[in-house]
Amino acid sequence: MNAALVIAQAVLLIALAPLLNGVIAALKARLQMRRGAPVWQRYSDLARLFHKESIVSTDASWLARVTPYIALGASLAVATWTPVLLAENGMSFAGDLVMTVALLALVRVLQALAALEAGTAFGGMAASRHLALSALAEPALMLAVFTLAIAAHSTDLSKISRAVALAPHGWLSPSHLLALAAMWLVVVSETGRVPVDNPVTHLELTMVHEGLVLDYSGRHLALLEWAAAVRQMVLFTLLANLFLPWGIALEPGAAAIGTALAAWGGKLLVFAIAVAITESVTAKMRLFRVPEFLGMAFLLSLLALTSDSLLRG
Amino acid sequence: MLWILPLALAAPVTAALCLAFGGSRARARIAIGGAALVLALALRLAWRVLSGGPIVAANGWLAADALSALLACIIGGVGLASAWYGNSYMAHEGQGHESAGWAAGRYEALFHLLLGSLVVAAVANNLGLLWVAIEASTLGSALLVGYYRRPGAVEAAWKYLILCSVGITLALLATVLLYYSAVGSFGESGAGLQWTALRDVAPRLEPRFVRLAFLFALVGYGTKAGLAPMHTWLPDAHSQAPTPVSALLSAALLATALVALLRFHALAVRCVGPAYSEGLLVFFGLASMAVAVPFMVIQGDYKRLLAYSSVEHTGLVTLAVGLGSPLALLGGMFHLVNHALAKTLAFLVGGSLGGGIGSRRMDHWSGVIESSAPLGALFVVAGVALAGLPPTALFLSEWLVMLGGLRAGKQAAVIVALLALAVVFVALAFHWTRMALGKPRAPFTDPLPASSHRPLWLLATAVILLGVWLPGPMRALMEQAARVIKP
Amino acid sequence: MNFPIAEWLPTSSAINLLAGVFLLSALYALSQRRTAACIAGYAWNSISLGGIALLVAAQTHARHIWFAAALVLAVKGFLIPRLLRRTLARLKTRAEAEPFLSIPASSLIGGALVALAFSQTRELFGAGTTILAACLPISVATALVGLLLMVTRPQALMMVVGLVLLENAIFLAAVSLTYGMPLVVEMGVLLDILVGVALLGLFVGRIEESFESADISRLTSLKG
Repeated sequence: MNAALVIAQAVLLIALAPLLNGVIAALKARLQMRRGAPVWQRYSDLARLFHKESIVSTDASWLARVTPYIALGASLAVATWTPVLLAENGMSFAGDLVMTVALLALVRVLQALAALEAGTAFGGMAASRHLALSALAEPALMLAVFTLAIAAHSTDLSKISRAVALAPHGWLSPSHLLALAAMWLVVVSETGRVPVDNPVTHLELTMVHEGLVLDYSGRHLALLEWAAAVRQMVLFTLLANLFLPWGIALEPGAAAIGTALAAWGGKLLVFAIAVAITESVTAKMRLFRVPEFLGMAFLLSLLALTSDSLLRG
Repeated sequence: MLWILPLALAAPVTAALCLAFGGSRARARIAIGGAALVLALALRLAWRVLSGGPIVAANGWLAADALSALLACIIGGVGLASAWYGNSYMAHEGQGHESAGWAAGRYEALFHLLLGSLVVAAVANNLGLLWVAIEASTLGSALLVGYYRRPGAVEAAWKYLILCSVGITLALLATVLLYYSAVGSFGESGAGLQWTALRDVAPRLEPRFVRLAFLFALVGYGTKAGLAPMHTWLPDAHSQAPTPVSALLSAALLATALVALLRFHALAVRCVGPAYSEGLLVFFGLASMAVAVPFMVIQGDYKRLLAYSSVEHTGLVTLAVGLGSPLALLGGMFHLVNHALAKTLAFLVGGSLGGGIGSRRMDHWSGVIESSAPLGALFVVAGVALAGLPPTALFLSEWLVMLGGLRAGKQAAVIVALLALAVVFVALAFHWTRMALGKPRAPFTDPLPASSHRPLWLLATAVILLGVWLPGPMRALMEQAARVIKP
Repeated sequence: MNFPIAEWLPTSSAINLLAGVFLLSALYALSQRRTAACIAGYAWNSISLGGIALLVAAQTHARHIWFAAALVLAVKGFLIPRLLRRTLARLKTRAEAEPFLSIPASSLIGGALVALAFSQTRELFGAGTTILAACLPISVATALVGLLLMVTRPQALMMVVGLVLLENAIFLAAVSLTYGMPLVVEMGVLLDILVGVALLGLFVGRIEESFESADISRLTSLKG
C-alpha cells in the first residue's frame, strides 16, 4: 500500500509537471484577453521534441550529452521523497531537506557547465547569471525551510510537514509568515518567473533560464524542459505542503488521500493563479536589481529564523 | 469648573469669530479682545486656585493646579502682547510682496487656534488630551511658520513639522506606557490617563514602565520644548515665522511643551524617586545651554540669535527643575515667567526695528538709540534682560536657580551653568553695544504707528518691576507650582 | 479536515498572522524604490493594524474598541493612503531620487533592527503571556523600520510615509499593551494624524514649488 502510494505520488508529480506550466500559460492568456494554447500544449511540445533529432556542438564534450539525463534523474529523485499527498511517505531514508537542496544545486552546476560547452556567447552569459542568482537564492531557501525544521526538530521533509500540520495553529506565527514570504520569492526566482526572468522571451539581454538551454535541441531539450517543469512542481509542492499543509493526509486511508489530493490540487491552482497575475501585472526587473529582490528573500528568511527563536524560545 | 471651561474655549471661539468677521473692521478688535479675555480668565483662574486649591473639571478631562494656572497666565500674557502688537505689524506686513496673501482673518484665526491649543494643553488633566493639544499646536503653528512665500520659510516649516511630529509620536508612546503602568491600579478604565489620578497612585505604578515613559516623554516633548540635541528645528522655525508668531512660539509654546514634560517628571519623582529623572533633566538642561551658547556668539541674524537664546533659557529652566531643591524650583518657575516676558519683548521690538531697517542681519543694524529713542530704550531693556543683568527679573530668577543648585549640593552643574551664562552675557553685550550705540547707517523710520509700542512698554515695565518687587500672590502661586512638580 | 474558517482560526492566531502582515508590509515599504509602492506598503500596514484592532474588539466585546477599530481602518487604511496618493499625483517631478543608502544596505540594516527590537523587547517586557505577545516586539521593530525609512530617503513624501509607519507602530503598541486608549483620546489622536498628513502633503507641494524638486537634500538654505 505504502510503496504503491510513494510511486503514485512520484508519478503524479512527474506526470502533471508540464500540466502546471500549461495551466499557468492558459491563465495568463485569459488575463491578457487572449485565447491562448490549450493546457495540454506542453505535452505535445514535449512529444514533438522527443521525435526530433538532437544536435550537439562538435566542440562539446560528453558533459553536454549526459547533463539532460542527470537533470531529469535528479528531479525524479527529489520527486520521490517530496510529501505530496501523505505526510509520512516512507522515503525519508533516501533524502531530506539538505539532500533536496544539494540535488537542485547539482543540476544547476551541471547545466551551467553544459551551457559553456558549446562555446557560444549566450550560453556563457546565461551560465554566469544563473549561478549568481542561485548563490543568493539557495541560502534563502535553506534558511526559510530551516525555520520550520527547527520547530520540527528534523530536516526530514515529511516530519516537517507533519509537525507543521499538527502544530496547534502555531503555523500562524509572524515567523512562519516571514518564512513563507521568503520562500515565495525564492520559488519565483528559481522557477524563472516574471520579476526575475521571463520564461517566454528569448531576448538575449535579459534571458537567464532560457539561455541555458539555447544550444540544446530535440530529445535533450525535451528532457531539460521536463526536468525544469518537475523542479517547478517540486518547489510549489514544497511550498504548499511544508508551509501550508492544510488537508495533507497524516494517515493512509482512502478518504484522507482523497481530501489530500483535492487540497493539493487546489493549492497548486491558487499558486498558478497568483503567478499568472504577477506575470501579467508586473514588469521584469533589470538584472542588477534582482540581487535586491533575492536579498530581500534572504533577509526575510533570516528574520523568520531569528524571530522564531527569539519569540518562541 | 466655572473658570476652566470658558478659558479653554475662549481662544478657539475667538478664532471662529475672526474667520466669520474676516472682512469687517471688527476683526482686529475681536482678535485683541479674545486674547485679553484669555489673559483675564487665566488670572481669575490663578486667583481661584490660590484661594480655593486645585480644581478638577469636565469629568476629569480638565484640571487646574498652580502649575497649570501659572502656565495659563504666561500663555495669556504672551498671547495678548503678540496679538496686540501683531494687529499693526501684520497689517503692515500683509502689504509686502512676500506675504502669503491669505484671506482676511485667516492669520488671526490660526493665531488664536494656536493660542487655544496651548491653553488646552495647559489645563488638560487627561494625558491623552494633553498629547492631542500639543500636536494640534504643532499643526496650527506650522502654517504660520510657513506664512511667507519664500524658500526659507517653507524649509523651516517642513523641518518643524517633521521633527516635531516624530517627537510627538514618541510622546504618544510615553503616554501609552504610562497608561499601561497604571492598568494594574485602574483596570482598563479611562482613569489611567488622568494626571491627578496617576499622581495619587504614583507609588504603586510599575516603576520600569514609568522610567521608560519618562525617557520617551523627555525625547518627545523635549523635541517640542527645544532641548538639545533635539532643538535643530527651533532656530529655523522661530526665525522664519512672522514676528508675533515667533514671540508666541518662543515664549509660550516652549514653556507649554516643557510643562508637559514636567508632568511626566512629577509622576516619575513620586514613583521611582527624584534621582532618576532629575539627573536626566540636569544633563539635558546643561546640554541645551552648552549647545546654544556658541551659536549665540557667532550669530548674524537677530531672530536666530533670539531663537538660540530660547534654547538656552529653556535649558536653564530644565536645569532648575533637575537641581530639585525648593529654591531652585521656585527660581525655575520664576524664570519661566520672566523669560516669556523678556523674549516676547525682544522679538516684538526686533519686528519694528527689522521692518524699519529692512534687514534682520545684525551687521546692518546700528545706532538704534539715536534713530528712535523709545524703540532704543525698549531694545536695551530686552537685551539687558536676556543677558540676565540686574535690575531685570531674569537676574533674580537666575540667581535663585544657582543658589538653589548650591543648596542641593550640585556644585558641578552650577559651575557649568554659570560659565554658559557668562559667555551669553559677553555675546549679548557685544551684539547689543554694536547695534544700539553709534551712528545709524541709514535714516530710520518706525514703520508701525506709535500705538504699537504700548504692549512693549507694558512688557518692559513688567520685566523691570518683577526684578525689584515680587507680589505676594505671584510668589505663592509659583511656590505651589514648584510643589506640584516635587512635593 | 474541515475548513470553516471562523472556528479554525482562533483569534489569537489570526492576530499573530496579522502582526506578521504588519511587519512584512513595513519591510516591503523599506525595500521599495518607488514612492507609490511604499504607500501601498503603508496601506497594507494600516489595514492589518485595523484588523488586529477589530479582532481585539471581538475578543474583549468592548463597544468603544469596535468603534475605535473601525475609525483606524477608515482613517489610516483608507483616508491617509488616499491623501498620500493624491499628493504624489500632484507632484511634477517624476524621477525617483536615489536613496542615501542603497536599497539592499537599508534592507539589511532594517533586518538587523528588527532582530534587535525582538531581543530587546523580550529583555524589557519578558516573554509575553497575553494573546498579543507577538505584537509588542513587532510594533517596536516596525517603529525602527519607519525611522530608518525616514532617514534613508531623500524624497519628502517618503519621510511622510516613514512617519505614518512609525505612528502605526505606536498604535499597535497601544493596542497590544492596553487594548487601545479611551475612545475620545483615540479620536483626537486620529484627527491630529489626519490633519498632520494633510499639512505635510501641502508642504511637500510647496517644497517642490520653491526648490524645483521634492528632494529634501536641497533644503539647506537655513544654517547656523
